[in-house]
Amino acid sequence: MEMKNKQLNSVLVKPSGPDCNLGCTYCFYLEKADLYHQQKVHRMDEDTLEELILQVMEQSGPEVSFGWQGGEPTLMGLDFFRKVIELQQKYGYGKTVGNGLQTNGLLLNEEWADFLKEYNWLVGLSLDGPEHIHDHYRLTQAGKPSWEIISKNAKMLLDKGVATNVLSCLTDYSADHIEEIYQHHKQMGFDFMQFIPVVETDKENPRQAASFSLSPEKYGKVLCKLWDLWVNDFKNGAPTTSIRHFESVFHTYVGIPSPECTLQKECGVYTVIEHNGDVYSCDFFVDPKWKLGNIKEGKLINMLNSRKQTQFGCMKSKLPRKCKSCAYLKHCFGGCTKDRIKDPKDNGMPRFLYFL
Amino acid sequence: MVCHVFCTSYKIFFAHAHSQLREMGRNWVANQLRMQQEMEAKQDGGNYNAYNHFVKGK
Repeated sequence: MEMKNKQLNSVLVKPSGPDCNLGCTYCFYLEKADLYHQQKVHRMDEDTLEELILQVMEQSGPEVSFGWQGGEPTLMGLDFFRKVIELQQKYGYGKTVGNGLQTNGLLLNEEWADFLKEYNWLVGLSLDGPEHIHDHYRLTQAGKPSWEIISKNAKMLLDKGVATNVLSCLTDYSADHIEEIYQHHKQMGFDFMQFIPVVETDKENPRQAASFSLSPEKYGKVLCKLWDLWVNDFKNGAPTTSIRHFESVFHTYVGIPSPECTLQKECGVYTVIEHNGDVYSCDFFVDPKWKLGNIKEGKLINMLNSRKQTQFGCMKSKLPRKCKSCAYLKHCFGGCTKDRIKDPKDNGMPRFLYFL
Repeated sequence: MVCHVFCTSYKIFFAHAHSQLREMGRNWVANQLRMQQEMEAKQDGGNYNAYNHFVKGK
């Protein structure tokens, strides 16, 4: 068990909790509203924000990053993020601060873009591909398509020179169109791409995967196709586009730990802060079992180095014998803990029995 | 007993890309070493570090 103290290098903040102006079929976070059912609307108040930024600035190393996510963080309004900058400058102590905004792009306008550009924010824009792919699952709460306005806002961000990374979810549907997605992103001008495989349990029958989930075989084929497209675009031996997963895997081929937590031996290197200051082990484990505390009652650095968070991080390294003898172990380290399934004969509830 | 949902997909991918990744990794490491040697040569006034070059075989 790794006992070395972890540095507070990054935090993932959900200022509007699970609230979102989209109702994507595959979203795993909307249901987190059940954890905070006392309020209909979830918003981080100014005191909580100030406490969070003060703590992060006091307890972090010389460089620290804030990831603003949701739900949909832009629901907080631009003034909230102006306050973020004001507080980071107030408590900065000369540190280097990076901000990332993961957004569906629906509420962005020129004023937002100017702000994001001025303060060098990195935007992660959720866009699944061309219209028929994006609108297959990414609909508004009212069930209306969202591609048109989001692709317009994406162009506006790129035209204004805002650093933008496109994030696409891979589903049973989009996986059949991976070349179309890759070419679409390139044509739009996205140099940085991230692809996330969607695997969720069926709400009606939690013993099997949801219909929109990607099967392992399909995901394997997508990775191969995407790899070929990426490598074919190399110029003078160097990539012309950035695909996060491939670059993360590449690290493991040159003896450098991967920056992607799913490919590391252990995880738990960051924490998630919900709108009311509650702190959790990981974005995928916002669950009472993995609640580490609240920033109004304790220090973030202590929660990051708590027994519970260490236990969470170590869970990843507990692998079956089959994994330990796998030639590729040092390149994936068993992947993300959330994607593991328990044998039905085991004590825990089985997940994705379908795949066994 | 725990299984990984994506084990199959990772194996399909590595079977496809492992040799290219390994080659790219080797090239990258060699390039890093070459750049380091060039830097050293500049610092030493044009000579490579003879001990590293001949004895350690770098």
